[in-house]
Amino acid sequence: MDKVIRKHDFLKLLFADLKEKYHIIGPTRKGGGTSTYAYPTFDDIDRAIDLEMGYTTTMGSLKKLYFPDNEALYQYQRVGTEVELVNLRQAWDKEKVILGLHPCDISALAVLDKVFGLDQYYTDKRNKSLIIGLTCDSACSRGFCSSVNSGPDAQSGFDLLLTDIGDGYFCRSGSERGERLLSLEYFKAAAPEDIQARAKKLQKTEDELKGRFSLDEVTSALAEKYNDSLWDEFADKCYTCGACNMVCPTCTCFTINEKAKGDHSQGKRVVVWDSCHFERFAQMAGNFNLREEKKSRFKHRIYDKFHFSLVRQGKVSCVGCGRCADFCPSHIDIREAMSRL
Amino acid sequence: MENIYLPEMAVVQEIKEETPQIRTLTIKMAKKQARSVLPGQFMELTIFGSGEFPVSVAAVLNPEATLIQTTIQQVGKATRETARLTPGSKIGIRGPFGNGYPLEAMQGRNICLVTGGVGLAAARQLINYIVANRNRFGEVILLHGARTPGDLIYKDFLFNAEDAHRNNISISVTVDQPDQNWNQTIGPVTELFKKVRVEADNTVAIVCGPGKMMNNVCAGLAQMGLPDDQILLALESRMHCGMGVCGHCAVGYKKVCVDGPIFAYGEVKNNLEKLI
Ligand SMILES: Cc1cc2nc3c(=O)[nH]c(=O)nc-3n(C[C@H](O)[C@H](O)[C@H](O)COP(=O)(O)OP(=O)(O)OC[C@H]3O[C@@H](n4cnc5c(N)ncnc54)[C@H](O)[C@@H]3O)c2cc1C
Ligand code: SF4
Ligand code: SF4
Repeated sequence: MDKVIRKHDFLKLLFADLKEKYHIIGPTRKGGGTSTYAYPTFDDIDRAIDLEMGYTTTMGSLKKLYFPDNEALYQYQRVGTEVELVNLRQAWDKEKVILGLHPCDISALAVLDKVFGLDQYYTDKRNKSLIIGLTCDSACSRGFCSSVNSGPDAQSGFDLLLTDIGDGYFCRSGSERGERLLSLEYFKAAAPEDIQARAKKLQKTEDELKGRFSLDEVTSALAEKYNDSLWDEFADKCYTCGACNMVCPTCTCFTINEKAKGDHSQGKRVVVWDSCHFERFAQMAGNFNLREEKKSRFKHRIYDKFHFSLVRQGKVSCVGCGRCADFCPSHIDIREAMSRL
Repeated sequence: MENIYLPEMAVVQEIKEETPQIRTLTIKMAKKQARSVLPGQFMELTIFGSGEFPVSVAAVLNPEATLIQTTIQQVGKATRETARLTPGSKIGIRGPFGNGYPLEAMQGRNICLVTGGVGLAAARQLINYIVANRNRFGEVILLHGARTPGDLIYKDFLFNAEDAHRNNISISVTVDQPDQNWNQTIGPVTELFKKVRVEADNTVAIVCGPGKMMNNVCAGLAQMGLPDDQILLALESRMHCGMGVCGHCAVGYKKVCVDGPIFAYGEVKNNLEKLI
């Protein structure tokens, strides 16, 4: 179902209605003040005025909400000869609405769903999320969603999808929950001009995207070029800092750490994000490391996104958000690797 | 809601010192296992205060699978802490995980087990299964190697000629560095290939040991004419969750914890990233 809503009604009426029922998460500007760095990011939104709906990209992705970077799993405590366990994982008490998620990040949630689908704490959070997506007003500088079929339009994974069409938002429902929302009185029928305005907006964004590549060509080239010297060149530039993994909305590797008291009487086990770029990531017994060479670790990330995921799940797991290139201290850009394959 | 990372509590019932570095624990779990524990599967053990690690199930001692054995080599932070366990110690356990051996496909075949060091533990439950279902298999031979005689585990199994004869299993053992009393083969486990004849088209080889040993053994077996899909490897990559989530054991498009730990050599060899 397609409808439109005036921006004023969106910020006043819809926001207030949502706030009554949901905890609202949306794009907002953080930092500044004592930090010289201000950047849009997803965070709790109390007042509609704090929303930055015109953002291009965020530093962190939404994955932290569903896959926290530091999550205590349980606590153990020795009591005499017994050991007591306390579950420390936390479920959301209130449903959340995620406002303003871009199509690449909507696609990323589908990747997370495949990885964490067996974890009830994860699926519970996902079931308690209402996704109100937002198509991009303009292309981000390093994104390539159109090359990996995750934008600039989205086909699924949202309850509502908004497109800024000037004085209002074009709203498309993607679920029954979304349709029910659209029946509220401040959503008006979409006129043919509105549909045209939406199409025009998406075309503009698509035209602005740079460095487009053919996914079919790239994925078949990858299968052939595992031992290409191209990888030496890229690996040589990589600092193995893991920044790309941290900002990536579909990187999900983690380590479970032991946080024990000195006398082992009490402690916790905690999930923390990890990076396949780190040397000890695939360390095994007998000084044997599956990916000892920096090059093989660099390739592992690229192949995991564009080749292994395709073989395993029939779909590449990179959603083309461009964050890895935005935050790489060595300015390594996946698009360059892809175009040179 | 189920917290899939929360272990079940279990009690160490008995401890056997195999070598100064390796102990076999008999572990009693409170609850009947929801799934049966297949030969080749593994569990995650938690030593509270030190960490969690994957370990092969070496034996299942009762039909309810509440009593199991694992054999642990002390190599690092958590495994070393097993040296301090005593009967009655409480530990955590999760599992069973992994695919296990393809028992159906192995029926009617000759079985050639080639193991190194504590790798024998990963094949032990399979050996028990074969003994219990002896008439479903052809000729069964076990070739085992260790660094020194002092590093040999399961000595009362390896050197029990009477049981071996009764179970119709031929067992040969070799060590890299002998002591004065050693009167058997010396050298890597591939030395033992010289002493056996393997019927290439009707034999399934089971290989488990350190990475380098597995490489050499696979090369040796291939030389004897064994096709890649008749060589089964038990891999032991580092892993944290055991359930296909954490990413540590991913090699190429395989995940050792869910696609393995048992792989046909062909799958390993043709993987873009090397698995061993
Ligand atoms: C499916 C599977 C079955 C296994 N079965 C057995 C078994 O039956 N008996 C047994 O003794 N061991 C077995 N292992 C190996 C065992 O899990 C490791 O020795 C253990 O994880 C090391 O933990 P740690 O905390 O003591 O070592 P850490 O302090 O984490 O590391 C110490 C050393 O051990 C190495 N190491 C870390 N993780 C592994 C690993 N997964 N495999 C090998 N070396 C590792 C490190 O590289 C380092 O050199 C198995 C592993 C897997 C994946
Ligand atoms: S690999 Fe880079 S471009 Fe692809 S989803 Fe991850 S951060 Fe975005
Ligand atoms: S952000 Fe760049 S330098 Fe850092 S690990 Fe990733 S590719 Fe390497």
